[in-house]
Amino acid sequence: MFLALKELRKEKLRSGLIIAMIVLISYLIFILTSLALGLARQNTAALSSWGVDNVTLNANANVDMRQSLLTKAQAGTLSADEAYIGQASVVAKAKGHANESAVFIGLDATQFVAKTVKLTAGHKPQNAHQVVADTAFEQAGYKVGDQVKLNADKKAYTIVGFTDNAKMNIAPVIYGQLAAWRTLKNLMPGPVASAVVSKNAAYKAKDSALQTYQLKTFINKLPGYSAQNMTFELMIGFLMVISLIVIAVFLYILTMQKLPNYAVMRVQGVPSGVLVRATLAQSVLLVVAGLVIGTLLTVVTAVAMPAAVPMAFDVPVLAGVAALLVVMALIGGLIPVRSVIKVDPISVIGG
Amino acid sequence: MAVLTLEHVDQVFGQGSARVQVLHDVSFAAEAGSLSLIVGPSGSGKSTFLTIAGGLLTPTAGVVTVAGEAYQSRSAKAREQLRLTTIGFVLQAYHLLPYLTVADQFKLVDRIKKTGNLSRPALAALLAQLGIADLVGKYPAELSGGQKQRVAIARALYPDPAILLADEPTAALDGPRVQVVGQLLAELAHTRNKAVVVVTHDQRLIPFADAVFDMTDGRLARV
Repeated sequence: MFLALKELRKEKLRSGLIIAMIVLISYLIFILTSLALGLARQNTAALSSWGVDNVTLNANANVDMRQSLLTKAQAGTLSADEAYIGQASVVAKAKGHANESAVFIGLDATQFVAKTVKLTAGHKPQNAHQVVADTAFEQAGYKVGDQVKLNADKKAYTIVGFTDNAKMNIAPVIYGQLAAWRTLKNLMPGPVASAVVSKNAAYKAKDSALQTYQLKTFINKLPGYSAQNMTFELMIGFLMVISLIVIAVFLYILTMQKLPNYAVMRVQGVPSGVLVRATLAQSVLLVVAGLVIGTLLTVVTAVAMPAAVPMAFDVPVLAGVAALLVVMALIGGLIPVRSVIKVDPISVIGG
Repeated sequence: MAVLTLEHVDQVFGQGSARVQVLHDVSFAAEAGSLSLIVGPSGSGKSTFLTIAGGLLTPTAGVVTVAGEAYQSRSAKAREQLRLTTIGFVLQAYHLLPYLTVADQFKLVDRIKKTGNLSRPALAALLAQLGIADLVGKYPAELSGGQKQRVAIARALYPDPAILLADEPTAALDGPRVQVVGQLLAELAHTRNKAVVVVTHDQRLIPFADAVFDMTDGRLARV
């Protein structure tokens, strides 16, 4: 560490350039991770907030709640751990506001999901034409008491409250009653909901026309969810590999330039372990310095970023990413170690 | 008392038609408190002699003894330790670490060899003797050739070795500087009771030596 610190201090420009590269890489990785996390959460925030373990859909709906309808007879008798969910895609229209695509979720006010919805303002719907909207609507200028029209329904719906953390398929959620969902879906008598959700892990639909899915399975089948996550994971993975290569190349060049110095130290009886540790310490110091600056930039970005941008700055996840980068630095630092161990002290004797 | 001896040392490199014998039956003893000069032209085997004397190369034949024990009976790690504690090297191109100040060159030794180094007052006295006491905050790039060499000598002496091996210490110096370095090496041998061995092709150092050896075609002979 002594040698590494001294060298960083002396070679400020060279160290600064390497650190600058690592700052850019780490900042990019942090931002991409936050974006991936933010988008993933916007797919699932509402589902996660309900605290459910599984989702029961019509077996023919291809694990897509939007395509699913089920009848009361199929659903059977629900316990306190189960709740109906009616999902419909809607476009919210109001004078003075841009049209907003949203997901309408119809709930039974007596069941647990409706009870778990936490309001940031107003009250819960008391009739079929009252709704609670995600705070994205509030950020778009809507207020409690404003009226919106949903799809082609001629009768307006009154926003009676706001809730945060209510996103599904990267769209804001509008909570209402199941009766409103039936209207928006133009349903004939029969279907009572799109799905039954349960917080009982052992719950399983009895009717053969229905299929119960674990929450993870259901989330992975959300439209575009897996593809989007995989894209981000690939990008982050490639960036990790790039960071490994950048660190390894820089350290290799730095180490090759220092081999005569290392040979002198070997002549003087400095154990090769000290030189190996100095090389690894140098790579870790460079990366940690880059990570600290990259983190500061990310914090500034998080503060400056408008709420509408789907980014989630999750400290444990970003710390994990940072730890992975340090591991990459250690691996990168190991590449020139063989040259350090093999350095021939005799090479510096005899001019 | 001889602290470093070489007895009947041969060194051969290569095999068959590429076989070259660099040292022939070399015997040598370095006494504590004396400056020994090995003089010879380039390619005469001086550097090979130095690498064998410093335990960096095991000779093809013969015995090298340091502090009463043969190198051959010591492990590579033990020889490494010996270079850290008992043998100081002064190299031709000085080879100070460019990113360490003069003071840090000594701190590095402290970090690797925790005990037995010169005390602070002894180091201060050595730096004063070498005329570099006011250079401790400077990097090697800020020093002249002569200053770098004196720092390299101080660096080699700081672990308080019994033996100081110097490789062409006056290679890049003009006449007056050669006199200064010759005097300094002789002083170090006499006042600090070190066995100083210098390999050089520089005849101007001869007046300062207690014993002069000639190395020609790998054969060593006392002059």
